Amino acid sequence: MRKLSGFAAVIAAIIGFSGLPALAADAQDSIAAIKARGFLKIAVFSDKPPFGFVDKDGKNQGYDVYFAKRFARELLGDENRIEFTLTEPANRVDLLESGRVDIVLANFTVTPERARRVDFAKPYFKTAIGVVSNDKTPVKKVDDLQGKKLIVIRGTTADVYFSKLSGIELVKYDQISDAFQALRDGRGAGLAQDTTLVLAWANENKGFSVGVGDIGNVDPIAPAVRKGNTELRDWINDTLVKLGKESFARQAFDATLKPYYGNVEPENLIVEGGNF
Amino acid sequence: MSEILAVRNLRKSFGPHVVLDGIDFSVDEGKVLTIIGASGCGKSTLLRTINGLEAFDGGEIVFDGERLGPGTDWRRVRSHIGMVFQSYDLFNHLKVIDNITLAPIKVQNKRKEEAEEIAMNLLRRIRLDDKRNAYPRELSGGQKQRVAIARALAMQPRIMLFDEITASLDPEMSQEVLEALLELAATKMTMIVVTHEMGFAKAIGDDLLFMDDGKVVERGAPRDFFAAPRTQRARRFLSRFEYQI
Amino acid sequence: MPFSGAEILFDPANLARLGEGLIVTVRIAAISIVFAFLFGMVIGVIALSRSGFVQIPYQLFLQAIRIVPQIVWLFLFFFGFARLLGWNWSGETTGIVVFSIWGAAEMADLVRASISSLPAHQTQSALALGLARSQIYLHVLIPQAVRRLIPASINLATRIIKTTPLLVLITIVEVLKVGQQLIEAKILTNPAAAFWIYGLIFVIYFLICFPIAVLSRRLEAKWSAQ
Repeated sequence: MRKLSGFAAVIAAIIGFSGLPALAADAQDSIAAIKARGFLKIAVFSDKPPFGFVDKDGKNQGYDVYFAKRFARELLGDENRIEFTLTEPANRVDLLESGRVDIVLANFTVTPERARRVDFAKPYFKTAIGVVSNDKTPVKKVDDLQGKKLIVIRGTTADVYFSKLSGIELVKYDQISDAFQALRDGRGAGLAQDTTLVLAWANENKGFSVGVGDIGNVDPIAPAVRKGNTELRDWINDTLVKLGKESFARQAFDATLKPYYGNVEPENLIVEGGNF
Repeated sequence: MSEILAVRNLRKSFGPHVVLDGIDFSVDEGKVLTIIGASGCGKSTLLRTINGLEAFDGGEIVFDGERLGPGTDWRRVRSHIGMVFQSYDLFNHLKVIDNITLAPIKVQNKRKEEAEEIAMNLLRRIRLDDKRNAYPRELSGGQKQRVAIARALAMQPRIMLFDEITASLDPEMSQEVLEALLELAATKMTMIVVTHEMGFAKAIGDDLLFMDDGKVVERGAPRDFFAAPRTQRARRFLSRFEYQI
Repeated sequence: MPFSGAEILFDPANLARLGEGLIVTVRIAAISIVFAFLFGMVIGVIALSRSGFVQIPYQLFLQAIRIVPQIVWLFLFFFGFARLLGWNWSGETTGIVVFSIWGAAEMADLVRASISSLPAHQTQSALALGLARSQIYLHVLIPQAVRRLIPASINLATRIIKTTPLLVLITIVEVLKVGQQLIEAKILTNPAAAFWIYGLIFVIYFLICFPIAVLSRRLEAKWSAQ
């Protein structure tokens, strides 16, 4: 995913969009324009459960979609007043810059690089590095890994993070499936990867648990709007604050993420009321 | 006998290289003119200027009373001047019959049946009527050249130009093509034949041009030329063929 | 359990969605291929001219299409034009336009190369018969060039078909993306879903491309017999 985003940036640089005025997009995504249009245009993933995916009836589902529907209800009075656009990690920024969508709700991690091209609202989710381990030899904190082997996937944030620490031997794989198999085979004391992924895997594999879920930088995940559309961004922020009062993120978690992560405490994942 | 083609003081250069250096000759209707000369003497270029495949720089070409040059409707003129080349140039994707009928149908707007009737008559004359549905690659080199002749004749031209049409053939196949030319000459078709077959040049021509270095060096009846060439250059040229014969 | 997870293929809803994706793939590819071949023929014949007024724009066009990856053209036409010019073409229109231009450029060069590889005497003898330039192209050169073109143009058509998965980046849900959606939706309950779905998509691509390959082999065999 990170590789693809980099590619998109290269493409954008080649074409030279950055810094050019967005003539066409202007004013089409103001709140008045959206209300006049009658529906929100929101970009979501279609194959990234449990955040954005298409269920067996062909309907968009997931944590991101749960928020998207609520935004439509708050703004337009009906959660179905949305035109979903399928997005890929590589084109989320372009969808906003070209004015093809109003909001991106697609597990969009806030980074300084992206923040130069889009405006992020307050976060509604967060991600960090988690370590999953066999329950017989649990890893409860990073220090438990001293002098032991840790499985990582080459080139990921976890790989970069643990490469800087001394005293932990890294066993690297290219494929996620190979890495999990290695953990099953006991070729490492634990496996480090995005918290969301290790939680979902541990939930499906009896005898394994995520003992530590907040390693490294905790990255905020937030809705994004076109750069300069402060009106819509502020509306989203106000809405997130308002929804925080009814623990909406918790409801979204229970409805969409719990089946995937099991009975974990959501504090390491959800952000309530935009309060990161 | 009326003159059908006259070439006067024809000049042509490729850059600094003079290919045709003041050529003069004429051809009467029903006659055969043979042109001989070393390769590179300009004889092929001369043929190609006559039907406009090559432009010329000076002089004039008069065909059937019409001066040819820039501004000539070459498509119309070419439909009266048949030409056969050294290389096999049948259209490889078309059957023998379709090779022959293409131009009559597309250029002369003949009906298919009429064009095919003309084509079959020609094929019978060259004894290839059994190959009407063959593709060029199924023919021998000699057969291909005979079909190429028939294809040019199907346009019912006033004059035929032959540019070393046996040069790529082995002797046996040359023979059948040369016989076809002799038969054609017997029908009083006007022809200009560029050839390197000296025996054939002697047999077929009413008139002969010997060219060297872009000029007509000798002109006369073939029998006289071969018996007693008047110029040093002609003698030297012919002596080269003696050991071959 | 060698067939565990195969039930994903027998769900009519899944098959219907794959079918919809397949229709999108085939529709975009087929329309693009038709445009590519038509425009490619015309541009290829024009490109035979040695004039600088033809060669310079032609080479610029061809090299631009070749050097810049298709994905960049898709982004430029879909996002760039929407942003800079206000052209809000749908993903499908954009896909057809970009693939047609790409295919036409490649096809034009195939046509140009194929015609110019024909012996010069084909043109000469046709001229000597009094045929017009346009008649020579129509009745002599193009029919022979087309025969030489068959393998390369079939290859181009299958390349266009196989490039359609790129269209997800301009928000088109084609058959491969539908497959990924089905697989990912079942990731926890049916780990073998990827095997079955990708297997089916493999078969689908094969079923599209194989008849084209067979047809081209038949034509080649038929024409080489001439």
